[in-house]
Amino acid sequence: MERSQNRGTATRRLLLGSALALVLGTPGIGAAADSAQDLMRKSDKLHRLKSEQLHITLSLEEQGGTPRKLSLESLYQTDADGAEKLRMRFDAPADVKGTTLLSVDPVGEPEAEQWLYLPAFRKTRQLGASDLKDRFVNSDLWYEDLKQRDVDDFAYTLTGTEKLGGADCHVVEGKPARESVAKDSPYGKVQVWLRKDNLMQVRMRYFDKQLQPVKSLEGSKLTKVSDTAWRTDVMTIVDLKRKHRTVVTVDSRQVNPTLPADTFSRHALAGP
Amino acid sequence: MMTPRSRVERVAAWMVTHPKTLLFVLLAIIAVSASALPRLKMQAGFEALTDRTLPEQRVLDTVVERFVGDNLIVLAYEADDVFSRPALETVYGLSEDLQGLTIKHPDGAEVRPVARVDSLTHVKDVVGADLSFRAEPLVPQPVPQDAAALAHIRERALFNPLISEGLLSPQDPKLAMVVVRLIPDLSDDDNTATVAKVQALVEKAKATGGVKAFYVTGTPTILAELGAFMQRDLNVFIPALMVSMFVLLLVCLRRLAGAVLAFVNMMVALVAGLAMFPLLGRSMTNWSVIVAPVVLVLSTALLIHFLSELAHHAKEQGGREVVESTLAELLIPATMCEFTTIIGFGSIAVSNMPALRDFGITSALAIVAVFLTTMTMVTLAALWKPPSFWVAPGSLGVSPFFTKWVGRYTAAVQRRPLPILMVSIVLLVLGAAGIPRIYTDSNLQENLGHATPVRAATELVDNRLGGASALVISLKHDKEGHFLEPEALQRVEALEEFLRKDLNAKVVTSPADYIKLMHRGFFGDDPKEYRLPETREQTAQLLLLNGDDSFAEYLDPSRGWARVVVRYNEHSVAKQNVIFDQVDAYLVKHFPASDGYAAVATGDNRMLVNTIDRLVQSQMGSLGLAFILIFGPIFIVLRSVRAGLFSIPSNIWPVIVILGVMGWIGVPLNEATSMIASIALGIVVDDTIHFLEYFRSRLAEHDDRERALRETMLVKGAGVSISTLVFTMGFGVLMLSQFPLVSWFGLLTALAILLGMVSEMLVLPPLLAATRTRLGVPVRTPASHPAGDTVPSLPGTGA
Repeated sequence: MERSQNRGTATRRLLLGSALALVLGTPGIGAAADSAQDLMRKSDKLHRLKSEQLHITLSLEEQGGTPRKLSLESLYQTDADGAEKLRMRFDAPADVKGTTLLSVDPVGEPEAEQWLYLPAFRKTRQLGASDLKDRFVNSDLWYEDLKQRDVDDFAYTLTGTEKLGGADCHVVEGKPARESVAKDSPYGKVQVWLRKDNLMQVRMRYFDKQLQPVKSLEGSKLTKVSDTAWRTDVMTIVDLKRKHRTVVTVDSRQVNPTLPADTFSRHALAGP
Repeated sequence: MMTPRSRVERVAAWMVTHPKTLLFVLLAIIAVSASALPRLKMQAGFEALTDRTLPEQRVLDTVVERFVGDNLIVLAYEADDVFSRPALETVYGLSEDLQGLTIKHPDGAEVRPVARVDSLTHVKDVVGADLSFRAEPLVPQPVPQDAAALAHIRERALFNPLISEGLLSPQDPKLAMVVVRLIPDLSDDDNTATVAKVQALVEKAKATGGVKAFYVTGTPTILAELGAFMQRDLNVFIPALMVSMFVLLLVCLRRLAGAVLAFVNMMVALVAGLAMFPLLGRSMTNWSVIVAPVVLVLSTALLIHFLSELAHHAKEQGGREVVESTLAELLIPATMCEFTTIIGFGSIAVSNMPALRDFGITSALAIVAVFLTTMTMVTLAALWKPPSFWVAPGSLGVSPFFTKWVGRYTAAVQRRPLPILMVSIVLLVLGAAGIPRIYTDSNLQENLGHATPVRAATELVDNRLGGASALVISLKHDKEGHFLEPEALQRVEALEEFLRKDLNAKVVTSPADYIKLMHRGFFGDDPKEYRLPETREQTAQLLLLNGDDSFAEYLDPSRGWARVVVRYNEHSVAKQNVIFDQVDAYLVKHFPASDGYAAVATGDNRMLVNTIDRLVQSQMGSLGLAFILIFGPIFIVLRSVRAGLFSIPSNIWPVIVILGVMGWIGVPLNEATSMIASIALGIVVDDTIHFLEYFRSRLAEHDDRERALRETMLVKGAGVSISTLVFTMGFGVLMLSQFPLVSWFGLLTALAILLGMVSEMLVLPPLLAATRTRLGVPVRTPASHPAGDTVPSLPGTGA
């Protein structure tokens, strides 16, 4: 269970809807004595949900171009054994309507199994392991951002405090903690702005292996979605090299819904 | 009212009576110039010529902004087996190093000039099986050791057309390449620094032993190499020219002091001339490099003129008078001669290309600086020591052989001017007949010279790897998602077919290739499925799967804008223009605006070709202006329309003949040779001015037209010969250049100046004799004859 408790990133959390718990103002949350690693572990644990259903709009914005919008339904569930399941079905634009991605990440397996159904071919294909620097549906989200990483994959240090949108934040810097992570992850360093009051990650800066800034992420429209968990309902991810950005907006959310048993089966990929 | 002549005399008198002021002026010029010279910057490449405001440049900029640039360094490499583990490991290490490459600006700022690296170890392959599909690196890390895995990698690479065509050689399994895409808008300095770092990384990779040889090419490499040539050229020209001028002057002046004076004068002129670039905030470019020899030659020619006149006047006068009368006689023609040379360069300043304008203005001002330093220095020298100290008596005089020869020729000209004129007309017609054969062309590759590694690398990539030049075709539709439609993709496919078959393009990459590859992968790598999807939905859904970033270089996120890249192996500007015209015609026909398309063939290479074209047109256009600007003031200075008109034929003659020679021997007009006519005109017209001015002064002196012509031929013929020798030697030094463009320029300009001398003998004297003109010099009344002066009776006076 330790693995499932310490996994996730801000971007993944929003898209996959992982269960979190946060008690706003609880003594000890974000206390000065906590190490950066502890803060990140607590943040991960507090904002995790058991299941979540979202309707999301991805707006892919090219400098000088018209935004391209994709809308999808995302269903997420953590099983009792810690296995994580995700299903994303595209609603729009019309030419991709019905395209469905299924990801199942059993405990103990190194990689998640991913299946994709393309209605235009009426066929399902299993997707191979993606390069973690690949873009998810041509957005500025990389597969690394969606990967279920242990918090302890990165070694965090507290580098300072900063006010962001009126709220005090810890500024935390993370670097790959192990050789395997350093090799695997496209990031050589991440900077995280963690609100002191609810330990929500509200800003991130990503650096490549040469420690050059490559991306930034800003979360806004903070919403409390359960007793402990908060979400940022709008996230803007900017690719600093491509001068391209992706705005992820949550249009609707259902927290801890009861999902039909076959929601995450391959048979359900083709849809109703 | 004071006459112009008396004004000149007053200036001359002022100069000889104010040596301290002259010395102050000279030292001030030297001090300012010497302090500015360390800021002199060399700039190879075409950055300075890029006009961002041009519509076609703006189109390219928008394409680059939406997709990527096409500034590529190509590293071809040879290995016993390019799929062996050592070769793949070497390429992996090199590719990683290249991706992390940084260069530093003088202010310490770091730039990462590499946007992307494509190599066998840094490329994605689309792999399909019965029920699975994935885009994965062709070569996993670490590189497999076992032979079967390496054989599988080879098989996959050859099965993927994007990899086999883009990175491997169709003819030679031992060849492959790494393609390094640089970020857009790298400055020339950054480009040079980047190429140097890439070369260093290649050396490091070579040392691993995994690869037998690397061949580095691509436009950034070629431009950096041209910059190095330029630097090497300057290092050769200046010493070679200075030594040859020193020797020439030693022979002509027969005084070591005179030769040393000329040498010092050259140094000062060089410093003052070249300092104009930093003083005006400009850099020396491939074109302005010729300013250095021009400055040396002009300063020497002016010094010879001065010393020759000084020696001549020293026979009759002494002390300050000799300097004053020399200056009084020389100031107007010398100023006029410098002025015409300035016009020759300055006419380039009317170009609509800002960089060329800068070059014209800077060169013209450099010549002004040379004139000022030379005139002040020789005046001071002449005031300091007597003429015999600088020039041996009789040394610049006329030899008996020359006197005899000129005497005979002048007699022939007087007796039979028309046949001699006919000879010149025949030569002119022959020359003119060659002009229609002139064509415009330039070839960056040929400019590199034959024995350079870049040239060899370029030829290898051209012949065996499809070429390193790229043309980018931008296909923009007014409807988003248009390129998801099968019909639109079929048009792109047909365009590829046209480029391959009709234009013999070796490598063409379009979004259609990626989509076909994904379609095949989705159907388990069935070769029959390497085709375009049947519906828009199929394409759109396949593209959602795409995990290969490089696809974004060919289709934008709106799916309404596609980019097709053609790699080809042509370097001739003229031949590339033919290709571009054919592509343009195809695009107009098959991607018409009426169907919602905005299709354009563009790219850095095409812009480079356009720049060279505009450069040549601009320089040729400046020739007409040079004519007007040069001859206009001559009319004024000679104070006679008739004399002005007589200055034209002997100067048009060498220009027409040299252009004809270029036509006959097949030397194209390019960015260098297109300057020859203007520059040569500015130089050869000097002899005509001296000739006509002297003829008129002699005629005014003794009223004997035939004698005046003979005296002019004798005195100015010697001067013309020496100045022609100096200029021919000066421009001839450029033939030492490793840069064929510059060496051809040197040869042809030297030839044009020689032709100028020929025309001073073959055109002007018989023309004067045949027309029996007095060039507006009035016939003297007997009362105005000086006592003892004999005036022969002349038929047709005042013709």
